[in-house]
Amino acid sequence: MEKLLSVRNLRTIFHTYRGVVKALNGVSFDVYKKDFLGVVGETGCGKSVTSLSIMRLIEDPGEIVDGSVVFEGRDLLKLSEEEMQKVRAKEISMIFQEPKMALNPVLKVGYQIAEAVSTAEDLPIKSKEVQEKVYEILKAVGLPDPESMVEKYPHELSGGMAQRIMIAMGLVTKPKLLIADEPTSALDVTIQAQILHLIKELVSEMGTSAMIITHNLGVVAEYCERVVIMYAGNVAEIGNVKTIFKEPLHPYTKGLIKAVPVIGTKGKLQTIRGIVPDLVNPPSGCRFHPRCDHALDICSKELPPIKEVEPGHFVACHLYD
Amino acid sequence: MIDGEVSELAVNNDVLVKINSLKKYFPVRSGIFLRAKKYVRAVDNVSFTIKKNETLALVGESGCGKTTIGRTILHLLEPTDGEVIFDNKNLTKISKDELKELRKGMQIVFQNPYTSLHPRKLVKDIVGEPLKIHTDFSSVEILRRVKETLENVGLREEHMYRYPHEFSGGQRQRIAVARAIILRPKFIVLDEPTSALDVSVQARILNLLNKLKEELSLTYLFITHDLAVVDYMADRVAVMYLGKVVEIGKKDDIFKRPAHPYTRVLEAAIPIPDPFFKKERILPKGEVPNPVNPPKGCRFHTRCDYAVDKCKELEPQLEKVDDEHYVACHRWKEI
Repeated sequence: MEKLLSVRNLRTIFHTYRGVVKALNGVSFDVYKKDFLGVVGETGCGKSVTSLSIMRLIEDPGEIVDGSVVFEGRDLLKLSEEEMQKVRAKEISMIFQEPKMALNPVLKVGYQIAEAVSTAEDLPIKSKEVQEKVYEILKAVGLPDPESMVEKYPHELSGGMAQRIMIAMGLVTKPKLLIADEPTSALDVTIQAQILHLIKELVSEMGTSAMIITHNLGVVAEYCERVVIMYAGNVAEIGNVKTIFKEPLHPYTKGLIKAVPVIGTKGKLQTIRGIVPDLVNPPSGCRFHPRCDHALDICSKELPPIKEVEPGHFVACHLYD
Repeated sequence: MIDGEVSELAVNNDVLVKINSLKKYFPVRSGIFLRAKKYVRAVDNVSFTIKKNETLALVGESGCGKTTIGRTILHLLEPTDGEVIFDNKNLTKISKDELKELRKGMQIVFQNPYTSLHPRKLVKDIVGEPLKIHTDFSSVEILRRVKETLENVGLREEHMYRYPHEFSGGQRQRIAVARAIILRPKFIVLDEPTSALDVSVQARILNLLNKLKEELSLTYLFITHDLAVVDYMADRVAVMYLGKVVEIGKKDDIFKRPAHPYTRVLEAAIPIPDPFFKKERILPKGEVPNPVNPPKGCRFHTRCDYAVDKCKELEPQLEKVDDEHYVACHRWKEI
């Protein structure tokens, strides 16, 4: 498979009054062309920071201190702000958890989508071409009656409609990659199903790759093809969804999958002992070692590199050295 | 109609909680005099029973009234109409003192342990407060019981002298559970107790709740929207839509033989964390209508693939499908 985006050794930190939070501790993974990738992990594992770092949306007191984000041969971390704006306008789109907070409350939604088109295509916002594209994408995201929809303000929309507008804004420029950060966590389950189906359908039609950030293993299992499991600022495991659920390798992935009840689970649920570490003072070596039942001496000393143990299945664990 | 079942069970001592035609309407006030012109019918004519030592799960989307039912059963909210019978006493007809006495037997654990614990009280005071209100135990005795209860939920004695902010989400939910069980209640409403927690923490809280149910012979009303959790925890399941129970039955009936189209839609919509799990592929239609102005007839007809004219006019009542399995749908036999 052809690579679209390669994240290598990405380190992002946040300067806080408590000290430096080492949020990303050398994250590496690839997004392929036409990929539908899930990035999953518990609160604070760095999944959102990863997506914001790729988009270079980390603001003070945060800082990307190392690594590279190579997108179609160019390292995004080395682009000028102006060039990066162009990438955000046309090539990588992002949608967020709270669609109503992401939309501008004082502008009509039609204008907001048109703005995305006109910036990306360098066309005047009032032009007929832009308007046609807006109507077309509104129909594509399942909003009937685009003529009246463009006149609405965000407060007139339900959460599900607002997220459809966000998807329209994200996909109207036919980007190469769509990053969706918990796109359905604020929505009801029936609306969640509609939105995820919609994203999946549209990106496969357009040949766009998608990267879905979620904490919900159910969303990964039902919608994604590949998954990146993150723990405390590191990638623990990467692989095909079915492989990861059937034969997880990393002790954290194993624990995580066994901790979630599925239909038919009987008896006691397995748990992972201990708690998620504080990233101001993370454990040395593998950040999971204090909670791991299989930890070796080396685990507290050296951070395990991520390596491919079988084609397409990567794990960062000394047990597989 | 489910009334038949209710009166049949009324003489049955296995029943701990029985609600009968329960209604809870919230006024929507507007105008200069803030008169109630419209009502949100959060719970509209709901009847069911909860047997001793069982876990009844209440599932549905946000705004369907599941939380309101839980709070109305405990009389944290006054019902608009209908009755709640707890332990053979009708809560709607008793005095305040009697209600206070009965409150010892029923407790609640809320969804968000970051907002349900007083930030400026020590854990010993949070967990000991029910004893202070309901008993005349000495402070030494209260401390002893707090310690014992904390150990019961997997916390330690030293945690007594800390504030809630010093704990993780999972530990806070343990504190909330300790506060709920310290009076040795018979019945606990668990209102999405793990929705705010990470999955690895959720597992521990679910294990704890199952252990306590066993040890203390508890009865749970488990409010949630996570079907895998329902399958793991519940004996029976009630599915709600816009203030109504549309289907109620044993867990296996609801999961393996769902009779209501909404139950099927809900089960198809909720993602199951198992890529090998085969399920029906139904894409839900439309959005949940406004509960101020719910659709006439069957409230689900606007989103239902099987709706016919009758569904738009006539509200379906719960009908018996099978032993303990009831559904409110005109067409359940055909579909």
